[in-house]
Amino acid sequence: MIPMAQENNGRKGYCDLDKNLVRQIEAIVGKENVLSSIEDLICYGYDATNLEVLPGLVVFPNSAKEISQILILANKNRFPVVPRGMGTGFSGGSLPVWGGVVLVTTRLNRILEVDTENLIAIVEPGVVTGDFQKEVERLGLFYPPDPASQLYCSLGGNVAECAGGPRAVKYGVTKDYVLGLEVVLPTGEIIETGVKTMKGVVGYDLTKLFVGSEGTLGMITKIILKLLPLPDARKTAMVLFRDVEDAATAVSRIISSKIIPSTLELMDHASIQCVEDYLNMGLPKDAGALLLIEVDGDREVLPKYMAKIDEITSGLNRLEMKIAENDEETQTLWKARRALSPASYRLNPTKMAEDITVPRTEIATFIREARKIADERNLKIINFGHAGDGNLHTSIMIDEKNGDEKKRAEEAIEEIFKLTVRLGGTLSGEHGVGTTKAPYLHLELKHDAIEVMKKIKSVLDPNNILNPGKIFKT
Amino acid sequence: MIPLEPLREIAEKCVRCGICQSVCPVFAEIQKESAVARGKVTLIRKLLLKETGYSQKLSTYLLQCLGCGACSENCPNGVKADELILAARALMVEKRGLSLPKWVFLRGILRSVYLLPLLLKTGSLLQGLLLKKIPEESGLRLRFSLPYLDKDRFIPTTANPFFLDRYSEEVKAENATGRIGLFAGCSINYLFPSVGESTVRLLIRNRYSVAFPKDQACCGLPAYGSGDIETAKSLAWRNVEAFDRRDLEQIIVPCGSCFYFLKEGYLKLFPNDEKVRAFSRKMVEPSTFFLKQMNRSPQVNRSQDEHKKIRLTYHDPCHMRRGMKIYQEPRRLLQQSPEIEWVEMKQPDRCCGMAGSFNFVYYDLSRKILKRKIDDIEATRADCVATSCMGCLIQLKDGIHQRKLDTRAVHLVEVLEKAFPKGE
Repeated sequence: MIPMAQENNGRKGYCDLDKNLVRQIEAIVGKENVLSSIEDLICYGYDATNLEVLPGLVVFPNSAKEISQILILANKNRFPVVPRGMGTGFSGGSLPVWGGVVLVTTRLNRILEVDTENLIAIVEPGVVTGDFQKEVERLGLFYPPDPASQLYCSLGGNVAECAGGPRAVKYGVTKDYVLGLEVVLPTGEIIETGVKTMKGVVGYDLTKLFVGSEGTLGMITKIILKLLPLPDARKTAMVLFRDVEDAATAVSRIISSKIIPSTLELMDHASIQCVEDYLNMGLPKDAGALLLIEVDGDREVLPKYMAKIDEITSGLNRLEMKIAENDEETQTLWKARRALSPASYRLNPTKMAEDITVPRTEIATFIREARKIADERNLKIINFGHAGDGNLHTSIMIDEKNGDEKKRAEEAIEEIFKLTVRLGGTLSGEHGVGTTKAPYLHLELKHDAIEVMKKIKSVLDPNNILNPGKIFKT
Repeated sequence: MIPLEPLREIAEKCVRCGICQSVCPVFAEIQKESAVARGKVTLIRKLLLKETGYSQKLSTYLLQCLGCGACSENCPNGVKADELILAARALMVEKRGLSLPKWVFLRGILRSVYLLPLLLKTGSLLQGLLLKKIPEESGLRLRFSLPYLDKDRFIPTTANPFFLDRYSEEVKAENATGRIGLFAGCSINYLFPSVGESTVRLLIRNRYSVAFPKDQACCGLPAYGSGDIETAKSLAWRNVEAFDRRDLEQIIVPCGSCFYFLKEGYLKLFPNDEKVRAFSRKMVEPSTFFLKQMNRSPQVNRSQDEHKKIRLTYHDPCHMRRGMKIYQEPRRLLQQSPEIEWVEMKQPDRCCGMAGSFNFVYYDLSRKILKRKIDDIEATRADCVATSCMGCLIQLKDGIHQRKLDTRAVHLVEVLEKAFPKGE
């Protein structure tokens, strides 16, 4: 049977969504914006993790006001409310693990304003990130955060999880672009935070508090975003190394030579092998690492950057370097990286994907040690990711039908987390804690720090109705 | 009985990443998980695990899919969601039977040798009462709205006489170098005989004699798409037999959807049948066929005098683009013509929203999807939009008529006839 969130619905103190409550919610948002059939509930009980639960009701609100009314109702009757954007998260942030109402933001999908003079935009949370980027790029502007799911994730979800992406190495992550928010608090008040200016220090920085709060502190209904001028051009290269150590050294040296690439993606030996087996594109199978490097900026200066990168990497144990001369060649270079996801599923059907982040200088050590942890438990592991900022997608590929493989993988992941912390890193660079990392929070955060977070949560959400069961172990 | 294990395997490959949300034309309009592949695949997996039942709701959601294949084409894990959805429709029919209107249409009318022509003949006599002519097109529109049919809608005229009745069993070309069969399909036979006639003239011009087995039937795709495997098989077999008796080496199919189903679909209906395999091998479609002809005997280029060229764009039918991977051929062919000024529309391979009965069951949705296609066509300022599927053609004509564009929607073969004037 479906792992029923319904069973958890009975969690002490929460009420069931009876007919009367459903009717009240329908009165708020309109009957056509409420789904309750089992088929619809199933469709809103998953995200991009491999978890499945079941909400009690799916609701598509049309405004902050409606969300406020629902939250007031939720406090009065005490039922969980879980915000959801496009449902593409990797940590279970939008999963209704304790049942209740899933509030989907897809109807709040307007770009309200793009101010080309002050370089800001105001958007609703349901706008798809890629659509927004296309729109501002048409105006010669640039919104850099580029999570892999940019064509099918929403800005609201990006803000709630503080999404990153390959470009983070140069341009930072979502929080670096959020100037202000409109938020509906769990108790129903609608507040505005932040500014429409580049500067602003009046009062506590509540904006930063809500960014990355994973839908536990409030429901975001408007976002003020900072924009940049669109870079003139970009240039891509692929470099293959004998050993992962060489690739890691290259990353550090490139950055200390004062070139900040807009992308510095790394694939380890196992990832290269996996893609080569899948595509036969002629990658040397003995390569220890692959770096995909992209520089952007003024058209004139890019060849100079590439020459410098060529010089740096040629001094290392480099197997080959390819520089794309046109769009088509760029696409060819990206092919290996893009094929990794499908290729990885040829190793095994289930991916346990993490997104740990370590200091750049510890990348090689991390990859070596993580491999050892997996090898000792006879598990298949691939490491790839955003080497420029130390954010690695270390993924263990398992077959759940294969004996105790899942258990061994969970053990390995705990070890990998401990390793990460030991190296001075963090458990999650861009996916968030959600439900998947909640059991490990204490590995990274001290007891007192967790207590402060819990206090903040209880002040804003005294009845624990907004996205309960997330971040903190229960 | 449909074997469930292969279906379960497809369903379990989906990791619910959500990428299908970025390419699904239905999701773009209704933004509900049940509309998009990952939702439907999840629901089918739950059904196969017996965690949910064969409900009316599920049936509705399964039908809310164009089968355009954009999700499968873009799936990083190679989940063939479109195939899975078709198989699930068949499962639904196996368990729940067909809805009454579909039963009447598919089992009663489409499957009968006599009833469909008879009904259409009667219809053609009565159409003047219900419909009035659209002056600029060979189409009609309703005098008043009817259930399932909107008043503004473009409705093709019923042909009189039907296409297949306009020829003897075989038309001989002078100095024929070859002989080819022609599969007309319902749309050409009953609604657009001109498309068939263009094909015949092109073939004759290329010195092919054309054979028309009169006992050919509907290709069966409408039945297959609705999950009615039984009817699809019965129609398929009738076609295989009809052409088998004529001893032909090649069979040309002007409609891309019919072509896909005759060539690929039949192999799925009868997996290990040698006769069906031979039939499938004989199928050709106009763009590939005439491109080959042209390479054999290049047409004389007419001098590029001051005459106005036709500004032309091309809409890729899903069954051709994703089903058969045929999309370069029509371009290569048309771009060679001295009469054509080629212009590519944005997203030429985005589904037009017709998808057979989808257009009737979900007309409003179909129209919204069509709107985006017509926007893209309008932006090209083309004189003509060509396509090679009769379903698409009817849909494009409807959209263009309602938008009141000057662009004409035509079938590829109609363009070919004009684009390559007979060599001197």
